[in-house]
Formats: sequence, C-alpha cells, structure tokens
Amino acid sequence: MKDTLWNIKKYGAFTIFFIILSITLFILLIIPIFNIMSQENPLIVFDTLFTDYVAGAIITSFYCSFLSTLLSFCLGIPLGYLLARYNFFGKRIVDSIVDLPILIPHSVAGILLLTAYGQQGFLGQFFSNFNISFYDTPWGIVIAMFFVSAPFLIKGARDAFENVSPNIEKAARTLGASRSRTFLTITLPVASRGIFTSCILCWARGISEFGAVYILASTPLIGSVLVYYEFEGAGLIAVRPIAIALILVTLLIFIGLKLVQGKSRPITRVT
Amino acid sequence: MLVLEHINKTWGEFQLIDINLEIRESEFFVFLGPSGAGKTLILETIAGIHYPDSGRILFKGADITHLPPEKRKVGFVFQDYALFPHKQVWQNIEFGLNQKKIPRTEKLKRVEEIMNQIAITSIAKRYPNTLSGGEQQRVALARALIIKPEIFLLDEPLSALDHNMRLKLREELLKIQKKLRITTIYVTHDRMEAITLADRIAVMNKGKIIQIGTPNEIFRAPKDEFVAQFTGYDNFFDGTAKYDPETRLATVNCGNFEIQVANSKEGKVKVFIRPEDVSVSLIPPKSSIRNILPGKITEVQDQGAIIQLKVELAQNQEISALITHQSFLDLNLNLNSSVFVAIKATSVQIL
Repeated sequence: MKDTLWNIKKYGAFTIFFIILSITLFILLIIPIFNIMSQENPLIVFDTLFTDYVAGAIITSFYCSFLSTLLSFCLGIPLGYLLARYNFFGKRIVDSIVDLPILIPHSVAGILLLTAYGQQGFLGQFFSNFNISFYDTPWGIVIAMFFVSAPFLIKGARDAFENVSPNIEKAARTLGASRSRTFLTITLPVASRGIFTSCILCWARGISEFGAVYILASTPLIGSVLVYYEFEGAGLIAVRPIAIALILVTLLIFIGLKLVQGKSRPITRVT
Repeated sequence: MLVLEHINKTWGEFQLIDINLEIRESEFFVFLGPSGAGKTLILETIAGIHYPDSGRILFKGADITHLPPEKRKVGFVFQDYALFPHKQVWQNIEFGLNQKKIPRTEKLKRVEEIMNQIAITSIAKRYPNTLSGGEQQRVALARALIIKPEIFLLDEPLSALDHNMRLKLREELLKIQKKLRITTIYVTHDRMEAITLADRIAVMNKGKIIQIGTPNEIFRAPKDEFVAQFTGYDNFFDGTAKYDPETRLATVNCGNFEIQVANSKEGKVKVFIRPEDVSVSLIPPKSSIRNILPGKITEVQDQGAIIQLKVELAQNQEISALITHQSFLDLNLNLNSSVFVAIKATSVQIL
C-alpha cells in the first residue's frame, strides 16, 4: 500500500521538498514538447503527417523496429532466461556485453556495424551469399535498431524471469510437465507482463534510433533520418511540423499500449 | 519401497553426505533438522529436481536415480505454496491432469471431487493472490494429490501459516494421509510437528542423517548431543559417571551435585534432562524419585499456558523446568524462592 499525495498538510518538509524537485523535473521534460506544439498550426501538422514521404518514413520506422524487436525477442528470451536461472563461468562478461550497446555512443555503434555488415565487412560478405545486403537497405535498418535496442529486451526479460519463483517451475515438473512445457505454460505466461513491457521499450528504442541507422542504412528513410535531412536542407521552421507529427504518433501508440497493458490482469509475485 | 543408497550431492552451500535410507509403503516419514541441514535438498533429490552426484535411488526396486521429475509420480507441496499465479484455483488443480490424456469430463469430475474433499469448492474461481495462506496451502495439497502420486513430498508446508491454521492443517494432513495411506515424506524444523505426524523420523544436521527412529526413540533415546539438544533436552551438565551394579544406577558427579541415572555408563559423560521432566516443589517430595536437589529460582518466564523457571543448583549451574501456570500460583513462587527440583532417574539421558 502506498500513501496518496493529495493531503499536503500531512507531510513534512522532506516529502514537500521531493515533490518540488519532481515537479521541476516534469516541467523540464514537458515544456519543450508543449512549446513546439504551440508554435505550429495543427492543420499543417495534420497535412504533413499524411504526405507520402513523411507517412512512409514513419511506417518504415515502426515496421523495421517491429522486425528488430521480433528478432530481439526470439534471441533475447532464451538469453534472458539463462541469465535469470543459471550461474555460469563468464556470466559477468556476458552481462557487460549485453550492456555495451547502451554504453557506447550510437554513432560509434554505427561505425562498428558498418565495419561488420558493410559490403567489405565479414558479416556483410557472409550474408551476400544469401543475397542479403545491409548497406542502405531495410535489413541494415533492422540490424542497426537490433544492435542498440536488444539489451532493453534481454535485461527486461531477465528481470521478469527472475521474478518467477523457481518453485512454481518445480511444481509444474512434479505435476508431469516437461521442461519445455513448463516454460511455455507456466514461466512465460507468468513473466509475460514484464516481457511485454520490455518489448515496448525495445520497440520504442528502435524507433528513436538515429546514429547507428544513419551510418549503416540512411535509406530507405526512417522518421529520425528524415527529420535530420529536412533540418539540414530546409531549416528549423520547415522541419517542425514533421517533428511534431512524429512525436504525436509515437505518443499515441505508446499511450495506447500502456492502456492495453494496464487492462491485462495484474499478477502479483508469488514467492 | 523407496531406497536411497550412498547419496552424495553438493548444491551451492547445501550438501548431502552419504545418505542411506529406506522408506516403507504408506509410511509417514519426517526429516527433522535445523535450516541448512540439507532437508530440502534431499526432498528435491527424491523428486528428481536435482540428481545426486553419486549414489542410487530405487523405487519399488527400479533405479530412478536419473529419471526426470515429470516421470516420477511424486506430489510436491512447497512452503511458499508455489501456486501458478496466472491460473484460477481449479485450473491450478487441473494442471497435473492436463499433462496426461484424460477426457475432459473425467478431468472436471476429479477436480470437483478433490475440491470437495479438501473443502475448497467455494474458492474454485479465485486467483491465488486473493487467497489466505491456509487456503493457498489447501489448493497446493489438492493440486499435488489429484495426480494420485505414489510418494507425497512436503517441504515445511505449514511453517508460513499462523499458529491456529498450522494446528488445524496439521490435523487435516494427518487424516488425509491415514485415509489415502499414501507414502509421505515431510520436511520440518519443528519438533512438535515431527512428533505428532511421524511414523519415523530422520534427524539431519550439516548434510548427514544423524539418527533414524520412531518419535519415541528419537525423543527418549537421542544418539548424540546434537539430537538431544535439537529434540528439547535443554538442560545439560558435564560430569563423571560411576556405575553401581547393586542399584543398577549410575551416579554422575556434576561438580557441586550428583545425579542418578538409569544407565550403566562410566567415565566422563554429558547429562541431558528435558525441562518438562523437572518438577518443582517447596518441600522435598515424599516419593521414590531418585534425584531431589535444592536450588534457588533465578528466572521466571511466562510462556502463556506454561511457565519456564530457571533454578540455580550451584554457582553457574542452572536447570530449567516447565510448570503449569496454576501450579506456579499454588506454590506461590517468586524470584529467589528456595525450592526443590525432582528428576526421575529414568528421565535422565547420558551420552
């Protein structure tokens, strides 16, 4: 149970001080968003959103990030589970490698990826055997997004699995369920809420990526790259409606997802 | 029926050292020991959740040492209930049946039957996180029993419950076990649970089985100091014993007082006495009781139904005794009262 914050009188200087700091933080975050919106005519923003190249770029952003999240899910769920359940030699090293994409500048990540997945790169040459190229293709966008966003899913899945009591898995086993059946019918559903949250985070991170995508695959255009080109070519005033359109679409979708998630039945941890 | 042969296992900080054991059909077998003794590890090894590093497990003559848990027909009940939080009560109970090819109508019938038997029909549609501890543990019992296990394993199933619920479920558990005649292996650190439930008890410490026997053997003839202390022989004194063949009693000199014991041991010994075997009076009782020692009350601890007294027999040598609240009032006892403690020669253990 948590206290509600409405009755200010009940709280001492400590809580009031924290409330003031929190409001300050909120203002710093929200003012730029309201500010940019107040500068533009909503109709122009609306028109901009539905011009082919803007809508196309936004769709590419969402679609490529969706594919990258799917890839992160397929490969990240097993790793997240292993990290949550087992101790193994080199676990700390694996942990650090998972964190690496979050730690390095994303332009640097782009350079890494171009070196490996570019036409001359080791992986680039390997995949060219299957007629897959990454330089300036949707695959490149997906790989760049995957590189920077997978850690969010892996770590989120690991935390979600850690919150599933090993005893309920043991119970399922003794009741006759095999390992894989236990994972699919018990572990995964119980961890689903946490995993869903980490998928949203992973997807959002992919959509918001600029540096790595720009270096490996600047075309086809995604939202963030489009905004950068327009800013370079036509200036601040011209780019603003596109920026607002991007903010609005992203906000709407994520608020929608949060609502869907909020409606699903809460599962309290059973330890 | 279930035989453990030379089981060794190390798992994290827990271990099992050369466990040898035979559990009989329909027996209620209890592992008793302090935390860290390896009780849970032994139970989970029997369930197949862990495989032993060496040794064999035989079930009805067949080697099941490396059989996975889902093939062992064991029902497992956990201290934390371990219900599936995303399933309603009846779905939790049904889970074990879903792992076999059983027609839906039969499944529902069996779920209903067991819910009636354990008296949880009224909560069938609820989720585990809305249930009390007692209700959750009932559901866990039903879930484990519905698969008709050959061995029923319980890991401290009552220790997370409040006192009244613990007593109630303990009784019900015993009834169910006697009715189904199901071979049951139960882990606890609570000696009252062990003594009320068990046909036989194995006392464990630091990964080893120290003593196996009936409750009476364990609680009346502890094999070593650890078992004695863990089973409630709270009073112990060092001394030297001398056997007198005529009276068939040994006299133990504890320094400032002597205690007569129905035992033939000689030499350096430890004397163990249960506090409930020590009676307290104001004048020396006129009876055949061999040991009557004067002392002074140094501590009175009210434990509700009973009162624990500490009586100083000599400098730095105290004995604790349990008396009822009523006799405490009748005797009009106080701190520093001079009293006599009486102990039968047959209730004293020496090791």
